[in-house]
Amino acid sequence: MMRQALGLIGLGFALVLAGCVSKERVTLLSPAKTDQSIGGIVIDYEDGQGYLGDTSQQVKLRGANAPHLVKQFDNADPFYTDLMRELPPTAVREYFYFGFGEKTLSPAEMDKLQSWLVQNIENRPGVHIEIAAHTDAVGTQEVNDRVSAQRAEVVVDQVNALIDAGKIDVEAADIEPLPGSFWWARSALKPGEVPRPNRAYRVVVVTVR
Amino acid sequence: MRYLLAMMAAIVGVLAQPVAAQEIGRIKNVTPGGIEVVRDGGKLKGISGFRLREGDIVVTGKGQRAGITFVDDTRMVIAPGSRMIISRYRFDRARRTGESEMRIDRGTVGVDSGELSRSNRMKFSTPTSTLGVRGTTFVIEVDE
Repeated sequence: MMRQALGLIGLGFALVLAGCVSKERVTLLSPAKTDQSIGGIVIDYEDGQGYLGDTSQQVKLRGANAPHLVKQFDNADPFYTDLMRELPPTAVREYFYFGFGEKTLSPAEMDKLQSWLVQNIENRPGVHIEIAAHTDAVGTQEVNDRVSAQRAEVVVDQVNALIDAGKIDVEAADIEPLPGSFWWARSALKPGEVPRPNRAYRVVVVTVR
Repeated sequence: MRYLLAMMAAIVGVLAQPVAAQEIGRIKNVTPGGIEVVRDGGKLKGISGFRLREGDIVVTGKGQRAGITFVDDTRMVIAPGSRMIISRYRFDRARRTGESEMRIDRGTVGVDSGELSRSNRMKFSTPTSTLGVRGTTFVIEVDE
């Protein structure tokens, strides 16, 4: 009887101890990218709401002692610094422009595309090349969809040429042309505005992740 | 011309696929041997280049770690001993908007949020709380 009671007390003590040690928390860090703002995190607890909005702030989401109390640290814990070094490389994106109605890149834009691809594909495990072709708002959806598909094809061909020449190491399945976005230029028009040729939208946007 | 038609057909095919079947991100840097991805109840080996889908569960064992990049450019590092459910991930790559919900059951996940957080529709949940991300870099830790 005595032994059972002691066993139950011991079990209860262990559970309380486990509750104190176990953690569930979130920590805001300085932005991983230099052009990024600190932002913030809105937290919905079971019994209220909280907010983290500054670097090295941390809040415990559960626990017996002071849950939801925001702590402010002077420096990031080295554990977090080491962890975030394991993030994959930042995605890079570049814009390659076409002339009005043109389905091929100028020699200068072609050179830019080739050198940019060679520089940015190295050292990216699981590389993914996204090719998003656009047109300006002049003309019909049907014509513009066809033009943007042809523009995407030009870029896909260049990626394949670099693969064939042994300049980049990419599988064909890692190249993904997206559906043409006539919507982008159309969405920028004001109500009643007549579409005009606009170089800004005659572009293929290439993203390497 | 035949190549162009084939590419247009491929694009239409991508559009016609149900959202759940579309690629939402990839496993990038990963420890040797890969990690485990649970999909439709089955276990898959998540190696570098593995294409993730909505509904996948990412699981790392002891000594396993993985970096993931999503199509909105959100980057994550999943530390050893973690389990994360990608409950919802929708991102319109033409309009650059969407929403996501991921649940951290256990472990440690570092996040550098991408375009989804700009629309305030990126959420993470833990066993007790829900976090609304407003464009930032952070770490979530959950002990079982």
